[in-house]
Amino acid sequence: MSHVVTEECIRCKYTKCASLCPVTAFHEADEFLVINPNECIDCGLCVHACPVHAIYPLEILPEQYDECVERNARLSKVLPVIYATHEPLADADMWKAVPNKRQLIDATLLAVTNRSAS
Amino acid sequence: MRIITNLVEEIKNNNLSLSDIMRIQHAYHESRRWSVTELLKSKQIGTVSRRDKAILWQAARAEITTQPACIRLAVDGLKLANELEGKNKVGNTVAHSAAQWSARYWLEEEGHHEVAYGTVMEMAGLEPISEEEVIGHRGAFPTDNFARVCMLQACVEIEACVAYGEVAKTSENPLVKQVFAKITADESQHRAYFISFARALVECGAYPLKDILSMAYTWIRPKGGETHGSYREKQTKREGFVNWWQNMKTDAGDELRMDDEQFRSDRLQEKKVRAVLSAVEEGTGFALKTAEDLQKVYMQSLAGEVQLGDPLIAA
Repeated sequence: MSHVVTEECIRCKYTKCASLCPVTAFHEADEFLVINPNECIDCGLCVHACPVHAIYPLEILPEQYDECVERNARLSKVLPVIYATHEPLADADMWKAVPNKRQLIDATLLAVTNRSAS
Repeated sequence: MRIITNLVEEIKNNNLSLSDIMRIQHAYHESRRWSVTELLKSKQIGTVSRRDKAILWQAARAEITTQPACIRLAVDGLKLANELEGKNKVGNTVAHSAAQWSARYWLEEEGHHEVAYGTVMEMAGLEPISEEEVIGHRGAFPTDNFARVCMLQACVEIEACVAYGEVAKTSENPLVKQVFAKITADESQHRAYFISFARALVECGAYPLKDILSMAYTWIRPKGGETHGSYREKQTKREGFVNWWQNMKTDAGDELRMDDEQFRSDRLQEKKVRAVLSAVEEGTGFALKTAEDLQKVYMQSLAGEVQLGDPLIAA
């Protein structure tokens, strides 16, 4: 099992979760984070650290976030590891209230990572 | 299956009884249960590096000290519950909740850790821990303010999470990696329980806010904080091993020494400090960035200038 970062992270990226992770399992894109399912030990430390409640244990992941499981697994293979907290993105507080952010994931990033991961 | 992070609200608004709380604690414990025997059955350990042997040596001993810590919390929780009976109904339920969790679940899970590390340590070729040493590590812990103890234990669990998590991440031995990962995950759950108890004890009025802030500050204050290694005479002579991580073997020539990069590199120390500040935020609602911010809010709490739930303290 693993924990999963959902689309709620997009354009917020508060990053506190990543700085607490005991096994450094978070990877960062420009506008969001993902968790490497092969590194995550399911400790749950990140869950409460996220101010937008973007992180769930896989076993209770709401259905609407199903596609995030695959995205976390795929992108964590190609995105760099994040070790420390950064300042959140500039408009994070505004974006945290916006629903359905998945279409905001940069298409170019996905195309590149699709190629890299395949 | 969950950890109740807002105990007071659940007791007051959702009428959660002590039995309800125990069922939730029990279900969560069962859902996370793992078997040391199964995990280690028929496993070959292979080559274990010097640094992995060193952490196994330390961790196996550190976990022995958890038994008296669990007993202390269970006994003191019951005593507190009795003191609050008839005076503070919510506080009474919170204290019983902490006592029962400690007696039943925390104690049992820490038993897993002691057995797991002890067994793997021996599989790695190190000497079994002598009975004299085991008994020496079972020294009783002193009674203290219960809210402070809960925050202290949250800090101890954070130390364990960071040190064990580093092994889970960096060890090249699959069995060592797996055992440390399992135990790190357990310690993280314990941390969450302790924070929820500390917060609830303040929310219900059993203890003032300053108590949990003072312990967090004691832990991460830049000069002499527990996490940075404090060598004051009074602390090194105290009974029991309140913070085992102060008792590491670090002598240069010792094969079983812990090197700084294993448990107190700048990166790991920063992670511990951030984790304690995050625990403070979960326990009090104060989002703080540095130990200095924590010192300020602690001082403000001494003067009664801040209350639990105040939105933010100006750094």
